[in-house]
Amino acid sequence: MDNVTAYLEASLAGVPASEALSQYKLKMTDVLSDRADELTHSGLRDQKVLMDLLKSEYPDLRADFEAAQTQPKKARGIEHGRLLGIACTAIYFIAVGILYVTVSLLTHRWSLTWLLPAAGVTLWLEWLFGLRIEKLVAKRRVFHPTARTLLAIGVLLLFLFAFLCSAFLFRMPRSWLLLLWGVIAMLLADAAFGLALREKLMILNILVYIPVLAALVFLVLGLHGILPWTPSWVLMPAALLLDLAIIAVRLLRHKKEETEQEVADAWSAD
Amino acid sequence: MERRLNAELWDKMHYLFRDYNDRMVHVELTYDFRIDVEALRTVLICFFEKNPVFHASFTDNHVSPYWTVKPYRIDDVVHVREVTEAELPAAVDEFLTQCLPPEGDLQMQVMVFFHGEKTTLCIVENHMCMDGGDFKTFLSAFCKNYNDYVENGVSPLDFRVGSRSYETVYQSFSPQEQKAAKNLYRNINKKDTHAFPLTKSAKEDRSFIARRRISAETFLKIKSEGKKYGATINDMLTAAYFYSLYELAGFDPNESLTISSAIDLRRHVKDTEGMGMTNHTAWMQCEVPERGRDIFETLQYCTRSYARFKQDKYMGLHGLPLLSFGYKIMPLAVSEPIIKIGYSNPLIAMSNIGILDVKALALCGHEPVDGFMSGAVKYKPFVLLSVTSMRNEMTFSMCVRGNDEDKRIVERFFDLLEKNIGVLIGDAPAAE
Repeated sequence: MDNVTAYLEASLAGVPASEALSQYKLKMTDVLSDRADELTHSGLRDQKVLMDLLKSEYPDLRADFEAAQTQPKKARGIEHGRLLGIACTAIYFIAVGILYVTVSLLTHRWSLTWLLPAAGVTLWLEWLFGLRIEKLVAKRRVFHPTARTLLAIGVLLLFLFAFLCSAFLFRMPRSWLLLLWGVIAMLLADAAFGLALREKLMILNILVYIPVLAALVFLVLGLHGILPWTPSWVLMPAALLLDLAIIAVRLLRHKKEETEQEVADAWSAD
Repeated sequence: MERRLNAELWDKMHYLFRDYNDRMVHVELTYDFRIDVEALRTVLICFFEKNPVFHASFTDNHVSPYWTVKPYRIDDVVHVREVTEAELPAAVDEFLTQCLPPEGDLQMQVMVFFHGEKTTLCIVENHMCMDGGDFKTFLSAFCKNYNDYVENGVSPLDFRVGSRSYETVYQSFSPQEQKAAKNLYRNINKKDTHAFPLTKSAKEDRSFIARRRISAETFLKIKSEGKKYGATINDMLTAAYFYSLYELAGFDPNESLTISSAIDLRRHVKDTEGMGMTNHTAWMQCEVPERGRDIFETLQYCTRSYARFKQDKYMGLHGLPLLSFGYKIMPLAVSEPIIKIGYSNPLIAMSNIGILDVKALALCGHEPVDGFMSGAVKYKPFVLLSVTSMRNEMTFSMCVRGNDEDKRIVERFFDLLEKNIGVLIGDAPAAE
């Protein structure tokens, strides 16, 4: 304990005394003492080695303290931003609620006006997903699958709202086909997003998406009556052929790169 | 809060090998003085703190496995026993043939046997944590830290720490070379169904370590005679291994045979600074198209086969991206059985661990007087011949889980190996 205090005092010597410094010292005394207890429990009896090990784990307490001082400002900024976001969301939903009640009372078409809050919720979710996707994309690659999942959900939500409008507002026949269009759009969006992000092994996703998309397009266009069933089934084998062509091109390109590397090696060997 | 470590590619691979071996790496070092156990404990605690994987428990959660760092007491790692010279061999064997479960809290066990004024230091560690290459690095660092601590009071903190990722082997390559190496998806190793002629597996089988010492005089002759044939020590030993196997197992001399030889992938890395303790070992296959008229022809085949491999700039790196890909895209429960189908674990293998440098392994000015290192205890029909040398004395070791008959077979194999080495170096007449 004395050693820990001495190390803390020596490391933070020259830092102007403040409430923050006192609190930091108290916090670090606990952290270092707990760690020292842990090492003693493991069987480390030599106090000099124990302190050296602690010092190697916490080599620059001064820099750590200074970094900790800037963090509360950042944390306060984040907290303010969060509160503002919550307030704006509340105002938005109140506005949507007022709009819904007003329009409903004026038109007396309660069976349709519920689409207004549905539109409000969809818009809010899309905005929320957009913000989250932007943050996730800026992070490491490991977060990209979550961003892609959010994008897929976002696209599906848009088509779900379009389906609700089509079915209840416009009463269009076969409105449910919009849900299938949603899946098609979701796959296309994911492929484009993955390629834009230069995701590793995206080609494998695309190889899977192509036949699935072909089958969906065949089904949807057939159900819409835009394409006759009989010749358009060709879409599916064509998709498989396209897959094979992509594989062949990739293999050829890979082979070419290998050959170029061998040639480069042969030159550099000389 | 629970501290977790990522299970790296090689951790998962060695976990997969649980069906083929006990995943333990063993070392035995004998010193002609009584080492300071308290100092040894202090040095080991520092090593464990720098490399927490050694006090971590492996969790196979079927999706993505991980290590959980556990609290420990060094007294559960380091054990001390006084034995007589007569008791020592059995006690050492008993200690070295233990198997540490990866789900346990400790991945290393150390035993200090005091016999008279001598000390025999035995260490067993989980191969999932590090291979023979890093085990040698650890031993050298351990001895250096021990010496600095005991002689000069310097705290033993000089241990290499860093990334345990398999991708660190690419770090010395140029961007273009890295791209090429990371595209080596094809597994170039072939499957060979020839097996070492051990008995069938049985419940009663027990782990044992068979050893054979080769004198310094013979070792130096292998080196000098090898030079005459343009062969390395490894080529000479592999030729003797092949020839002895044909003889022992009665394989048709016209049949092709393959022995896989372990290669250290750190050969591709110029500076190992920043690399953590881990595994970086792959297999290189040495294939002879037939036994050959005599052992000298076998040696020619071996030299040629190894030379072909050595020409490859990316030696040992083939198939690594595929393994990584397999583990990345599938949960462990699915990737393991699929990788097992595609991965052919060699039935007959050799690991030339190399020199145990007595200067690097000296403790307080006392160089080890004896010692060896060996790979995991293999489950039949798999076998691995480990080779280490110390003061130019070579030790062959084969760790097998088997019965007394298997022990006799392995001893007979060592006899043949010695005889054939004798033929190669001109100490014994050729049989035919």
